[in-house]
Amino acid sequence: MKVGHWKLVGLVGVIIAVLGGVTALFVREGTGGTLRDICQSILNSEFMSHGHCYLWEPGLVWLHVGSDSVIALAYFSIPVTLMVFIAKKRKTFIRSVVILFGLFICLCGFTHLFAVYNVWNGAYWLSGSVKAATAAVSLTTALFLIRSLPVALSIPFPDEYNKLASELGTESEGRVEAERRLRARMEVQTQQLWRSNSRWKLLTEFVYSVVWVTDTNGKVSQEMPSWEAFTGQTHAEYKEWGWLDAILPSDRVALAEHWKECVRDEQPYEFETHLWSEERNAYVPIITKGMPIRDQSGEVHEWLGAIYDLSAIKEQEVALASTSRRLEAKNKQLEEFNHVASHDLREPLRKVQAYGDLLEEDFAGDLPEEAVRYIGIMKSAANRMSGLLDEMLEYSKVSSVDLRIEKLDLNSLLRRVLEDLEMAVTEANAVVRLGELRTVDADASQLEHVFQNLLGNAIKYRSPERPVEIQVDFERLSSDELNQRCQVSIRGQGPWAVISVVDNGIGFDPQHADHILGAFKRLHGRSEYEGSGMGLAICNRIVERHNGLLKVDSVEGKGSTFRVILPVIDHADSIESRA
Amino acid sequence: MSEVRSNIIIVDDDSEDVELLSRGLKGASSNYDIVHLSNGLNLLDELEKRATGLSGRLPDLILLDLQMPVMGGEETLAAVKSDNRFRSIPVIILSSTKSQRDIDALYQLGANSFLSKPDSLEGYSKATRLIDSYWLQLSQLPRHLS
Repeated sequence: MKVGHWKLVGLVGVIIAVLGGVTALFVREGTGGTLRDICQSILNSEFMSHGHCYLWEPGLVWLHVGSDSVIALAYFSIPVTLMVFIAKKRKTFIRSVVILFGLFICLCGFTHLFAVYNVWNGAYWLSGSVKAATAAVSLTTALFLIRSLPVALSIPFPDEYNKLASELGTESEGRVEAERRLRARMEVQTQQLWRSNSRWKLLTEFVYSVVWVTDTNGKVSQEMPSWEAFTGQTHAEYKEWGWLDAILPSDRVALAEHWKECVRDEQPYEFETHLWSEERNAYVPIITKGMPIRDQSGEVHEWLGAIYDLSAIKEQEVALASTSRRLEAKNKQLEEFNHVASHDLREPLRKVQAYGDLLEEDFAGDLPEEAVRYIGIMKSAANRMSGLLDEMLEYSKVSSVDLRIEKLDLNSLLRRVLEDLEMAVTEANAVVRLGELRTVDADASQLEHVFQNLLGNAIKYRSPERPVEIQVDFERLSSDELNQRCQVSIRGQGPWAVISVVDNGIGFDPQHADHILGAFKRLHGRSEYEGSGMGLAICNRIVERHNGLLKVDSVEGKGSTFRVILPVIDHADSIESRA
Repeated sequence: MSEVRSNIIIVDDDSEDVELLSRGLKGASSNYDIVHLSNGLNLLDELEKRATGLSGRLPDLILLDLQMPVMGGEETLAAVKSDNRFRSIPVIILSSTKSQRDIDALYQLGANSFLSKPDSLEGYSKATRLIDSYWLQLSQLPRHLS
């Protein structure tokens, strides 16, 4: 379509060029004779020149000639300007319109030129031809313009352009803002990445523990500076499976098997072994733990792990074991000393008591009343000391006698205890309620001693204001439950059997709770309550020997709660009780 | 009827205990001949002398303390009970021990009874009265050949 256009335009151009050339010749030759003669057949005619129509009136003739000449000149100048314009604006659409328009104007110029020419000559055929050419070109231009109207309309005028430009400006401001925000976010993320990278670097290179990285098959490819520093292996030595050479030879097969298993199952890896230490020139005890690192899709991307040097811990364990042995021996000695001391102290004490009696019996009549009173005080003190020695002996016995741990039914154990305490219970008119009691693992005679003491105390330290009520309950708790419930910090597995003895007696200030479990500790004067202050110390020692804990809570004036916390040994039983 | 006087040997290094015991025994009966020896070796010598007729007759009862210098109660008990001539003499162990294990061991060695040393004069009186009534009055002890 476009090519056809250009053909038409070209044809019109050729016609105009020919016509223009001929006209120029005529204009140049003016009134000359030779050329005019040659072209006379084309240019001359029998027609009367146009000047005749003006009756050769000079004014009228020059008016037309002048006007047509000026118009022609002006018309010829326009295509030149348009040529400059299209040379600058290389737009196809504009170029074709402008060329057509230029031709049209140019031809218009020629028609006016021939109008001047025809004032003196009657070459109406020629001027008619030029007019026809002009008509053809103008029609083409008109049609072309109509067709091109939509395109022309879309070309913005300066005011429209300004508006568009300002809109564009706003939009671009938004874009700049968005870009600024994006950049800021990128900056933050880059910072985070950098920080996390630094941390990683720090972890892998500067910490004392060894960090290792392997590919998804469990082989090492990356450099591991901490491994290098610890084992002395070079990258070439430890890469792939070379790292196994740094493991204690007798452990290598088992470790490699376990490692491959974990890699295959994508399970966390843990192994305790010995690793060669370059620094100590020996295999040192270590524990290593590793985890698969997954990407966003959940695929294992690599394995990352760390190695902890257990040397210090192992040394501490050995030291602790030896300290513990020494302590045990010391304890044994102390217990023996306690036993012997309480035994040997008894000898002179017996003399004081017996000779006190002798003095009283043989000479009471000769002595003043005051002296007899002094003898009484002396004897009573000696009696108390005798009681203390008994308790001391009991305390040392509790520690030295071998425990016979067996499964005990708490119901029957407490019934036995209550039978022994029957007199005291009846005298105090005490109500003792037993909750749902289960079995515990303990030494029968020692645990009996504990409850004899606890229930005896609950009756002894009763409140004068209310009838004695004692509640004995049983619970089985996990370590966490126990720590939470009883405000203790027990570690270890559990479960625990907790037997609580709750009374409504006089209670005591809770700040003495730990104090009263010590040997010879008393909260009350002898005149108020009898006792050596060894009862709870013995209970505490018994529970401790069972790897348990005696916990005391009390509210002064309201009552006390004693909890005997014992480890549950029988696993099957604990399952049954949970079911 | 002339009463047969009971012949008792107390073996104890603690003279005060001996005094208290003697006093108690004398309080129970005035019919005792009490000899005091301070260790096991002295007892074995004394028994040997009496067995060979050098002095008196064998005792009716031995009260033996455990903790003594030179020869302790356990060793002495073993020696007495392993000698056929002295085996039938009742030996009552005197001690302040309350350890059942110690007590059991002593019975194993042939002790006839065990007496915890009393804390009071009254205790001594009670103990000696019991000794008198059971070991010296009620029980039919074999007569020793002199």
